[in-house]
Formats: sequence, structure tokens, C-alpha cells
Amino acid sequence: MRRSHRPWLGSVGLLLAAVLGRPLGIDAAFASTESEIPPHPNELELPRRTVQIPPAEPYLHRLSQGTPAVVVEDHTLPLVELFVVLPADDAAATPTGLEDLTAAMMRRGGTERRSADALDEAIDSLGAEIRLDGGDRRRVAHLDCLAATFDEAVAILFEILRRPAFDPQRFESLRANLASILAGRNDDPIDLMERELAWILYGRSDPRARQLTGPELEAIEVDDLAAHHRRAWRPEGAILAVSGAIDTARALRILESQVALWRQTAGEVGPTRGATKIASAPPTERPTERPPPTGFYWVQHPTPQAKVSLARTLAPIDGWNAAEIAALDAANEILGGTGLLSRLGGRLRGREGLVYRVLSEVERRPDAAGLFRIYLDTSTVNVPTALDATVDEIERLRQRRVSPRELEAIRQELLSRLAQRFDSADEIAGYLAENLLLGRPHSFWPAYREQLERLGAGDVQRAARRTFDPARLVVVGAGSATVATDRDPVALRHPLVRRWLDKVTLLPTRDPYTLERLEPSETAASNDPER
Amino acid sequence: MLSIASLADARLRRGVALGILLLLCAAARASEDSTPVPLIAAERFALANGMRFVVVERPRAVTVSAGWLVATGTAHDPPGRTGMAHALEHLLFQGTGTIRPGELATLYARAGATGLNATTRRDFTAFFVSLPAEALELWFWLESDRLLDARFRDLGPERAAILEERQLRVEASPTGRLEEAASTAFWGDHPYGRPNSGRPEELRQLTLDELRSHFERHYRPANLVAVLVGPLTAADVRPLAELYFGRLEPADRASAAAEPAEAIVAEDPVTDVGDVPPASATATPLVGHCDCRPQIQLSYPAPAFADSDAVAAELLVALLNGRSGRLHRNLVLERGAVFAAYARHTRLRHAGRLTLIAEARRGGSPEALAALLEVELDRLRREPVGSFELDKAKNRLAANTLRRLEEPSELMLELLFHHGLGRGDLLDSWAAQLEAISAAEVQRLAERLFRPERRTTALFLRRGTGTEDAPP
Repeated sequence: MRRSHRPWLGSVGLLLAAVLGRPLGIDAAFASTESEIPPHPNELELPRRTVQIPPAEPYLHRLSQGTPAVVVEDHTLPLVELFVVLPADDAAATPTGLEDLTAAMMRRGGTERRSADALDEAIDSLGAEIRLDGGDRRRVAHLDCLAATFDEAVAILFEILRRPAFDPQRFESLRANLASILAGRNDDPIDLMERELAWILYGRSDPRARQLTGPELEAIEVDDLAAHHRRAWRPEGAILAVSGAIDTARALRILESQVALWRQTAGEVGPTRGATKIASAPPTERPTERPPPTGFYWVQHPTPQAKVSLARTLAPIDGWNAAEIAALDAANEILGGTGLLSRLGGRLRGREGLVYRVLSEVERRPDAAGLFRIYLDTSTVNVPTALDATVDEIERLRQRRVSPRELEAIRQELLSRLAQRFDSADEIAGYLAENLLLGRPHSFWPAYREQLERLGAGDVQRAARRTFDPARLVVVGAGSATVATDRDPVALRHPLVRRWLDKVTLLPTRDPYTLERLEPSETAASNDPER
Repeated sequence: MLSIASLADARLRRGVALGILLLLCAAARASEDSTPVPLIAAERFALANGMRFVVVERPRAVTVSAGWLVATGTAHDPPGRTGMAHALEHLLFQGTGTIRPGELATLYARAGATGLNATTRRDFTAFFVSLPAEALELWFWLESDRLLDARFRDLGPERAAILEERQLRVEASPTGRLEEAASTAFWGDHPYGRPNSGRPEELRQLTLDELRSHFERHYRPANLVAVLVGPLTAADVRPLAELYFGRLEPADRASAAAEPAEAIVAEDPVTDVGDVPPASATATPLVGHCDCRPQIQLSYPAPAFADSDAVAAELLVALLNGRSGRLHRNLVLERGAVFAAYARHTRLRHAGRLTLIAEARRGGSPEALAALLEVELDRLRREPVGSFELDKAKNRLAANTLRRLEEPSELMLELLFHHGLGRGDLLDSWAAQLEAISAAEVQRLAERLFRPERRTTALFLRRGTGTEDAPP
């Protein structure tokens, strides 16, 4: 998969720079080639690294209509990408499924000028890719094309944004396919676990957890899509980000004319929604007022390998606090993370052979509730032991300060990831545009770097104590419940894990199409997260 | 269905021509002697011991994506000892005489490296990482040390991890076991038919001694290639390569006298099957049940990666795939019973497999889909592709190929894999090859490939429908 790290998707950036020429003294890296090979790599005299954060100003522009546009040139290959991003602050009020279906049909259903077939043909013949996504926080239109066909490809993208046709036959085809997908959504144990976890964490009506049902799908009509498009896919509040082999002036000229057309069309087809104040958008999601869930939940699936998450939601933080975010990132990487050094990986996978994969993630931001989560792929029979070891490692991180050596390794890993976030034209464009969307000042990034550089063991421990309390975690797994919980609790070290295993809430099996329960839960109804 | 001609106005046609000319003939402009100009400017050199290096400069990058590959994969596992190549991949993370178990990852991480990983494929095994440019020498130190002084300490944890990995990728995947069975049905006894992580019962019997012997036989400089992409040139890399990897001596590795790379190839148990269909091609269709959408898979022997028809086979797949491709348009959009239809081309060093897949919608049956797929194959055999459609497929294929080369870490892997598949210089001439393919060549290739007697069929039925046998 190309560019697995998309800032738009909220993931961590990876790789490569565009702006700073040849910045890092690579020549110095080869200085030791004339000398003897040191007996241990610790004795290599490697040049000191400086993590560069590119300035934002050279890339930030504003079209005459006021629309912000980020343009980052990179002429390495003859490709150009364009993102059109719209804030979706109305997700909670949108009927389930309408957001995704509208975006999907804008791409599939033709335009007023081209039939659905002709639209597909035009995009494919240019070697271009166009994709539209509706989400609970943003709506995104994405174009990836050859540089020489940028004008034509952009015109097609904006034609879709302005005047989609929602071809009824294509809609029926898409609806039939979605019905097939809904009917199969109990097949993969990961999907099952994710669905139940989201419901338990956020409640079933939250935009982050809502699931489209078959009857809801059947009730959506083409007119609903067209109305939602008129209301939601409007130029007010749009942020544009271009990267690749295109001159900035040319890119701005093309965008200028397309956005003008878009504004004109939007004025014709429907009422104007109030412009979103990009840099000071209010929080769109507040932490849930439901009591935070805890305990152990299990959903049956005949897989031999259990999928288990331990998770909790986190309250929004007070502003873009670089110190707090840096400390939490470091604590997460030491515990699990996705990197090379995690304690959970070293123990559960490396030394004890309990899991194939263990990851953790943490997100805290001022504009929305955050999340802390640990994820395990483990043989079902190993679930109790793996949970016990996981809690053990969480407590160790909370109770004992990390060594300077371990802290330094994590610091370097996080600094590298930071460098990689600004290491290519598309990453730079993505992060700058996301700054605009979230109201995150660009100065956050140099501040974050400085916080990483000065981070102490006490900072990490405090962050872990505040955030990683095992007693506040809810555990949700999919697999064979009989096997997963069949363990003599006496062998377990942590009382919390014994309590989890003593009271396992078996979640009801649901019809995948309707999501109606097929059988009652085997434990107390009071534990049912639906209530 | 609307015809292509009615869809393509003059402006669109110009767009098609422009796209393909831009991409493929920008090279030609710079090449007055008609020598194909590569898509990627790669520098290459070899050390005296035979190890090869490829360097691609990305001047504005701050990270180096570096990897090396040994041209030995699961197909080289001795009979009855499957899993050997994969187990070796895991063992090479257990440290050396100098580096303690687990220390490799720590050293890389402290230097700011990310993405340390490895992969075992049928034809090769590759090890790779991305690291700050300043830490480049660390990569040379650690990777050459791995090859010079590897210590295989404990097979137990690695065996457990491999079995868990198999659980993840095969046993716990809704279609994992059936995909594996379909692969075995296609390849038969051919070494490419072995499960990638090995058969569990054989994996459990492996010993450290035989793994060490396998390592010493195959992990020799003439069988190795390294690729580095980042802010560096071959002139930067060569001194370090000679200093560190130049220490690898074939004689040190081999229990007998040093053998040239050709000897490895000669002993290679994988034969060049070319267009010879697998023995089981005409056997009864594989039928299995899974928690998945019902689907049919028709597999045909296809050109190997380095075969002169390999690019034409890619183009054939591009004609079938995509939103306006023949399979999606004619089966999914025109036929109410089809959820998805697409072609998949597995390109290996000595052979290939081209599979057409059609998935049925809810409540549908996959058996009837074979006839729909056959209609499209028959059209490819009988009718030359029109010039508009051919250019469109070329544009899509060219743009998608370029996209895979954009990110340095993916470019590094692409180049590594090309070497592992026996055609490290493919990108030098790929664009010219693609541009030269005619409609007649596509038709000839379709006639040759899509013959019913060469087909292997697999039917995946949804569990709980019809007669249900235990999955193979």
C-alpha cells in the first residue's frame, strides 16, 4: 500500500523531506570509513542529528475567495496529489450511513455532465485516482494524478464536488454490495471486537460507534444523498492541500478558478451554511457523560486466535499542550506503541511467546475526547496469562521510573518519527492543512520537539500514572470464551485480572444485517452495554 | 452498456494521449540513441565478493531506507522441512557474538530508526529498516555483523512466534485456510505450493543445526543484494559497503569450497516452469467453506517475473481491473449477482499465477460466476483490444507503478523484490516495454494463457450453505 501514513487519517507520518535541501551532514556520516571498524556499534561516532521542522509560511496561501490552500512542491516524480478537506461538525446530527453513502455515490454516480460510466472512464483514462470519504470529523476528497493531467483531473474532481448526479442504478448496485458487507460483518473477529468495543466505550448512538443496519440502509433514498450533498459538501470552510510536481503559481491558478466555480454552484443549488471558523473551531465532541465502562466483555467467535483490546476514553486536554502530549507519547511507546522497544512486545512476544502482535495507542487532543488502547493478537488459551503480563507491565511503568538508557532510546525513536512527519511534500502538506483544520498552531511542532528533547523519567511516570490506570480499563475480546477464560485464577498475579475473569460478560450474538440480538446474554443484563 | 466510442469525446482522447506520452516518453526525449531511459535513476555496483548494491538518490530526504535480500525463500526449503527460510528470518534477530538478543532493535531505535522488519517470500528473504541519514554507518555495522557472526540461540520462542503468526494470517483469517488450499491446488507439488510459514508439523521438527547449515549454504555474498534510497549516492555508499560487507567471504560461509552464485541456481530445487501448467490444473475443482462471501477463483499459469511477456500480462490485468475495467463494468455493474470481480497476478521468479476472482452478493451462488468470467476471457482471446481502451489501461498501469515508487521505503522494497525475483533492472526498460505492447500482442497472450485445460478452479462457499465439508 502506498503511503500508509496519512495525516488525514490521523496516523503517524512516515518519511521524507522536501524543503531543506540536503540538511543533515550526510557527508560527515562517512567520515569513519577510513578508520578501523569499532568492536561495538556504540563506539561509532555518528554525526549529531538535528530534527528540522519546516516553516509553514512558504507553503500557506489564501485564494481570493478566502479559501486556505497549502502547496508543497516536489518534482521527484511526475505525480500530484490534492486533498479537499471539509470540517464535519454536524456528524452527530446526520443519519447513520448517510455520510458514507453520499461520499461513495458522489464518486460512483456520475455528474450532471457525465454519466456514471463516462466519469469512471474519464478518471481511469487519465491514470488518476479520485476518492471521497465522509467521516465523523471531516469530509475528504482526494485526487492523485499525473502532473501533466492535473488541470483535467482537478476539473473532474470539482465537477464531482459541484454537481454529482447520484445515478439511481449505481446507487442500487452500491446498496446491494453494502447489504452483502453488512451480512458478513460477523465473519472477522477483529470487526466484531471493534464494533463491541466502540459501543461499550462511546455508546451506540455516538458518531464514532454507530453502525449502519440493513433496515437503515434500505430506508436511504437517492434524494437523501442529494440533499445531504447540498448541505454538507460546500466550499465554505474548505481547506486545500496540494503536493507534488507542480509549480505553486500554477496550482493556485487552477484552484482559484475551480473554487470560484464551486462557490458559484453552491450559491445556486442551496442555502449557504455558515462558514466554519477554521482556526478556532469549537470542540465538536465532548467526553461522554456515560459512566466510564470497566470490566471484561467477550463476544463469541470460532477463531483460534483471540482479538483483545484494553481501552479507556480520555478527557480533552487544555489546549495543544506539547509537554503533556510528548510525555504521554513517550509513556505509550515504552509500554507498547508500534516501535521496536516496547516492554509489552519484548515480554509478551519476545520472551514469553504469548502473542504475535501487541500494540498500544494513545491520543489526547483539545477538541475531542481521546483514547488509550492496548491491542493483542493471542492464542485464545493464552488470554488470561497475556492480560496478567499486560497489567504487570502497566503497573511497572506507573510505579518505577524508566532508566536513562530506555528513555533516551524512546526519545530518539519519537524524534525520528517527528522528522518523518515533515519528510516529504505530501506529509508536509497534510500536517499543515491539518493544523488549519484542528486549530493547531504550527508552533506546536517545534515545542513538541523541545519537550521530547528535555523529557525526564518523572514526566513519563506522571503521564503513565495519570492515564494508564488498569482499573479504569475495559477489556473487550473476540474468540472462544470457554477457552479464553478457562484458567485457574490462582496462577494469576494481579487481583484485577482475576476479577475480570471471575465476571465475564458474554455479549449477545447479533444478526449481522439487522444487529438485532439472536440470543440473550448469558450474564446479568445490568452489564449489557446497550442499557 | 454504452460503448467506449460514445464515452470518449475528443478532449478525453487528448487526455489519454497526453498522459501516456508524458509518462513513458519523457524518457525518450532524453534518449536520442533510443536506449530506454529508466523510470528511476539507480546506481549499481558489486563488491569483489559478489554482493551487489543499488543506490537511489533522493537528495531532499532526511531518512535512508535500507534493506538487503538473500535470494533464498520458502521454495528453497528442503523437502519435508518447510518453514526453514522463515525460521531463519526470525533467528537472525537473535543477536550475534557481539550483539545480545534484543539489542539489535534497541541500537536501531536509539539511533532513531523505524520500521525494522523482515519478510520471507517464496523466492527470497529480505531485511529492512529506515533510519536517519546520520546513522547510516550503524546499518552497515549491524547488518554486516548479522551476516558474519549470527548466533542462533533458541528456536523455541521463534517457533512459537511463527505459529502465532500463522494463526494470525491463516487460521484466524476468514479465508486464510481456503486461500492456502487454493494455492496448493494450483501449484501441486511445486515448491511454490508450500505454505509460506511452513507446515506446523514440519516446523516443530526443525533443529538449530540444520538451520545453521541452511544459513551457511545460502547466505553468501553472491546471493545477496542491498538497496539504499535516501540522500546519498553510490560514491557515498561504496566505501562503507567495501569496509563492512567486503568482509564477507564465500569461503567462510561454505562448508565446502566456495561456490559461485550459478552453483546455487543450479542446485535450486525450483525449476523454471514457464508456461507448463501445474500438474493439478485439470483436477476436480477445490470446494471449501468459510465465513466469507461466496466466490470463485480461476487460476492460470502466467509468465514469470522476468519473462518477456510479464509486462504484457500486467497490462492484461490492468484491462480487466479498475472501476472502468472489464470485470467491474461488465460483471459488477451489469450483473446483479456479483459483489466484486477482479484479476490478481502473482509474479514469481520462475513462474506466475494469474487468478480471476468473482465474489457473489448476499445469497448468491458462485458457481454461475465462472461462466461470466469465461465470457470476458473469451472476448480477450477473440477480439483485439481497441486503441482507446489499450491506452487507458497503459495509463492506469503506468500511473499506479509510479505511485509505488514515490515513497523511499516502498521504492527500496520494490527494487529489492525485483532483484529477488530475478530482474533487478526491470525498471530500466519497463516503460519502453509497456509502451511497445500492441493490441495484437495482448490478444496473443490471452489466447496462450486462458485455456480451459490449464485452469485450476476453487469455489469458496459460505459456511452454513449446502453440503459442508470440513475446510481443507
